[in-house]
Amino acid sequence: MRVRAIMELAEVFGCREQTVALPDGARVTDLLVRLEARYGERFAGICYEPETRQISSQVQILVNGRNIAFLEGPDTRLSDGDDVFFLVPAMGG
Amino acid sequence: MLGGGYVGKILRVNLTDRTSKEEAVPVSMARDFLGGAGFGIKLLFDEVPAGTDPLGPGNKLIFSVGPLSGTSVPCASRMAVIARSPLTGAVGMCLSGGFFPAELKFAGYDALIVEGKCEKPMFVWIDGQKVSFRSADKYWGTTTGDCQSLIKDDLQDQSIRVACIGPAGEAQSKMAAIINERHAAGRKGLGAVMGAKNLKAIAVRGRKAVPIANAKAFAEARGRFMKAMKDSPVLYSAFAQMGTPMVVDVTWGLGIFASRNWSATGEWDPVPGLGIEANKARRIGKESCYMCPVGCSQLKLARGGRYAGSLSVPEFETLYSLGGQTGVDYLEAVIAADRLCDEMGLDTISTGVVIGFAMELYERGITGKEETDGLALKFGNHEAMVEMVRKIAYREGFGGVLADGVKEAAARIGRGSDRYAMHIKGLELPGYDVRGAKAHGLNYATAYCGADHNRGYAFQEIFGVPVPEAVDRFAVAGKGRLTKWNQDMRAATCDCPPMCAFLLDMVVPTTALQNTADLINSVSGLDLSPEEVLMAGERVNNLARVFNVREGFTRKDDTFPERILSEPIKGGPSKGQLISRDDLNRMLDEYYHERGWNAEGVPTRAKLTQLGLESAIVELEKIGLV
Repeated sequence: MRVRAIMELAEVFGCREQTVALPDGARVTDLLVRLEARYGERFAGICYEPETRQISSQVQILVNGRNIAFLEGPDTRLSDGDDVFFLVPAMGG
Repeated sequence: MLGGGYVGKILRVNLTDRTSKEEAVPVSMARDFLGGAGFGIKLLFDEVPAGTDPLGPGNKLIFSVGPLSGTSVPCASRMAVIARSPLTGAVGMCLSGGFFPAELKFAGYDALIVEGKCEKPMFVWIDGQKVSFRSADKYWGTTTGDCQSLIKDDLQDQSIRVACIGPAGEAQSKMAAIINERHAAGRKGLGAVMGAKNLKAIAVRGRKAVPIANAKAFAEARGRFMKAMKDSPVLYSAFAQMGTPMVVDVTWGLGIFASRNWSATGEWDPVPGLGIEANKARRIGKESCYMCPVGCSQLKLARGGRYAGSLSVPEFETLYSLGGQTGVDYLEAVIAADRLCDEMGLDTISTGVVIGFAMELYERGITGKEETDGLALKFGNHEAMVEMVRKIAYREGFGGVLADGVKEAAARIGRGSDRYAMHIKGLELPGYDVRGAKAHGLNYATAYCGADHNRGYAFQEIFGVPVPEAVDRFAVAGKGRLTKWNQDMRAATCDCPPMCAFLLDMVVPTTALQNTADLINSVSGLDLSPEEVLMAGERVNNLARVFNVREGFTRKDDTFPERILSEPIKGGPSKGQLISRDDLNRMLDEYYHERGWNAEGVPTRAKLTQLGLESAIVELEKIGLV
């Protein structure tokens, strides 16, 4: 699947977009675990609330353009070819 | 009696007989309309009757600041500029920042009404309470930057602030802007209204501090506001460093960066050429409005090629219009075109969109070089894009065909070109492909100015801010209610005080009404509740709607270009999205219901009575619509 990010998360990734392969049946939580394993604390510090380890309220995760809040949340299933976009706080325009 | 904030005076200037007089601001007007856009729309409604020629002497050009302008409240040096728009025929309302708004307040005025028409080019010089009418022969033909400099030099005071038009306004391009410093009352052709009055500029100098009614309450309210600014997760950490261009990357991520005249959204990647990193590489500093600690205006210097040395502040919307719409991802060219628009006094959004439209016609073979003055108007041709800006400003050749906006250009060209004309009510579409952000789109369709993102920005859909609630940007249901909320909040807390709109979603999304009430009450001595502040916003939107109804606008004008209604986005994460006619009708039905308007979009007697708009009822009775 294609994983995209902007601003500080793109800096952590070292790129705006990358391909990540996950097993069939993987969920958004599995993707987060994979990315934390790869990018460590810098990723976790942006994407998780520090105390609860819930996904940060400042980060929106969209799967194929739709916010996972309107899908199955962190349990949203992912498939090959999906587009996952991390929207960090950014405004104005 | 207004105890402060408001200085209590409106300056009325008549260009025909070269007279001026001061009028009192009624307390009821302050309570009901707050200031800014509220004052302007109230005055426009009362004083500009239906059918007034927007470019005739009967139209009025109103500059309206507000109770917070000129105080130490951050981000409140804003002014609304209002007239009947020559581009749309509807209410034309723009907001501009910088230092001119505070200076007008220091001169002792809450609003300035310009009426009539000069026989010869003139400028109005407001030196405190002294108003004089000066020849503008010397300045006619100058660019906006030079005009401001020359007037300051000639009046021997560099602290003077000047709002002026450039060659485009003189030529009465319906896309002409009014420029003060590097700021613009850009859209809806207000510069053409000024040009039609032979008014080159307004210069103002003031020396009076704005009185504060309750200093202790003011200090507390201001302190809370500044703390909220400091606590924002984005204001200082990101926005103050990058400004609006960061939205290029956001809209790329969402797949709604409208591209190539809205034909290639999601397929064309704007980020390498126009995004955050490209802008950072050309950033040489930033500028702030009066009393703004943020400084979102990012100065960019074109560093290479034929445009080297151009300096401007291209905002997101300009990157969309002069970049995305024209398929030009060469930032140097966009900076140069942006600077040219500012100097010529042209709205960058409308100018970019009309050039993108012309490029699509050229690529489709609807026009050819013989018609475009030999220019190959292909998407991505930056040289042709920049040259067209200049031609539009001077109505030169094909530029004259485009100079009055995309709706009139399509009418002049014919040959089915109106299918590719991206406007609503005559106003060119701003950025954000609304097929992938439905409430943002409904605001475009229903805003009283035409397609104006600033009248009801759906930050819930673009940035995921869950206030008043989280929304699915692709959904249709609930968007009527949300759009009413966004429009009324924006009018109440941004357009009328007036206050920089960026703070609504970044700083005070959950406390904006209380914040506005606290600030206005403390400076003025009024006792507005948050609910009354919100009702003022609703009142302004309803009065503007009645103005438009009086001019003949109906439900059929609350619509989209054909492309939005019938062509899905072709690629990217919003692929397949569109707003069908059925979607539009469902959203309109919900929106009108939420607003208390009838099925044709006309405010009902009950709603207008609730809002205390009896004069609007009288006007609708005259035309049998209530």
